[in-house]
Amino acid sequence: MHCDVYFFLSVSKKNDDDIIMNQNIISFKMFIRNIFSDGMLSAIICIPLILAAIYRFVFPLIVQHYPMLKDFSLYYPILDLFLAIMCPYMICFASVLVVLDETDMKINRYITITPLGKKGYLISRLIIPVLFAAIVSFVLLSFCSVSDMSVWTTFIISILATILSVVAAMIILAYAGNKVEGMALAKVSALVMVGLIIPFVITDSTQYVFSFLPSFWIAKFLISNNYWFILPAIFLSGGLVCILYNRYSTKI
Amino acid sequence: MKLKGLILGDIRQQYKYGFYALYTLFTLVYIAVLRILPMQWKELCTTTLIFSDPVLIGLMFMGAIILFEKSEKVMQALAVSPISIHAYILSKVISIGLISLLSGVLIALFSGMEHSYIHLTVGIMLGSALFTLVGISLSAFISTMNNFMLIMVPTLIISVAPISVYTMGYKSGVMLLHPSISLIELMSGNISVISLMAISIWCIAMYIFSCLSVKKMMTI
Repeated sequence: MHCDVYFFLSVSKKNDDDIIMNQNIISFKMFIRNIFSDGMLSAIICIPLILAAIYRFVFPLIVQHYPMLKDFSLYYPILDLFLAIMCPYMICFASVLVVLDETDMKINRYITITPLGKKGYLISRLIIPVLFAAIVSFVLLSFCSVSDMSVWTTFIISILATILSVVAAMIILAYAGNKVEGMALAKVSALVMVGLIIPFVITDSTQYVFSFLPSFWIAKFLISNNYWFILPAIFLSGGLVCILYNRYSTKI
Repeated sequence: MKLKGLILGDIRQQYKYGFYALYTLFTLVYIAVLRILPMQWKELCTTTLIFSDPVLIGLMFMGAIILFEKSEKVMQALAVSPISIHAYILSKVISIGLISLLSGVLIALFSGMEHSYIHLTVGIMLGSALFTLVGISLSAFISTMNNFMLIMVPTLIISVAPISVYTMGYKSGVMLLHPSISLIELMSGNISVISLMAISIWCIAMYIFSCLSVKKMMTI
């Protein structure tokens, strides 16, 4: 009898998980359909591809034409960081805009009381799209990097850039109550990225004033290739995502 | 009286949704950046910074503001009220212009450079009005935020990109017909009849477009 109950419970649990997984996929498809219908999906796909093509084909020609640009090769990793963050940030921004639209129409309240829940809603709107973006970011960076990064460094930078984009998106989602606040917060969230250029432009110890930004450690890792710098980047990003998620889930 | 009420309402809404806090923060950041910059970069960067952010607020935020008003059914309420389209548009232009002016003048004042404040003030006010009107005109054609982004980003590129060509040295007189270049010249203190005429014509044209847009939104 007990065995039957446990078997039933395990099957039921398995079915529940399957249902929730299916709902995540359905909700993700809704998101894709939403951004496809207004052309945003095309922009998300095209802009990083155009940027990567410029890095791959146009940038070498410019350097060939203006050899003095080689003197700035120390700053080439900034261009790579920009390419790495472009795809995940764009998809996060599109997700945020869709969520803000749904917040104003109060659709998200209805969705979050379905079995999908708050977590599922966020997974389908933000995490699944961003996982695809991480893969695209890695592929683009592998083929079009201007600073000749190793495959392993490229992989780590793509992952960290993706996590950073999620932090920027969560800042908007956690505090914006509507589209107007969302647009204002989008500008503030962009400040999280400032750390990406700090270690390149401030070389003395003053740079550590910005050490509270995860982006600062991503740039530090790229410059020094010291794997220890990955830890503060992950802990700071993870901590921020947790705090912002808690704030978001109490707000919704 | 109705216009005053509308302006106060818009200012209250912008204050509530953090525009003043946001631009206080960004003004401080910009002042800090400008103070660090070497003297030879300061003049160009001050004007460009003021143009690229405080002056463009209207373009960047109008889509969100109007979409929010659409979702709250403000347009339908206004359509049956005795408020004219002109008052609605002027209230948006003046309220956004106030933030642009405060932020722009403070950035110029603390940048550590001498400026012609009359030219700067006129430039900021005209620029802010123009781009707010562009924002209102575009908002009639959008239904979602992503939609707005897709229209706004190319508009932003068309508005800002010629400035880089102009500042790099390609200073043809024809380029003064572009509103952004005329505005940059005006804000830098280089006033000319062509640039003033160009800005005025652009402002009038955009005002007509925004009237048509608001009319369209109110009749839906």
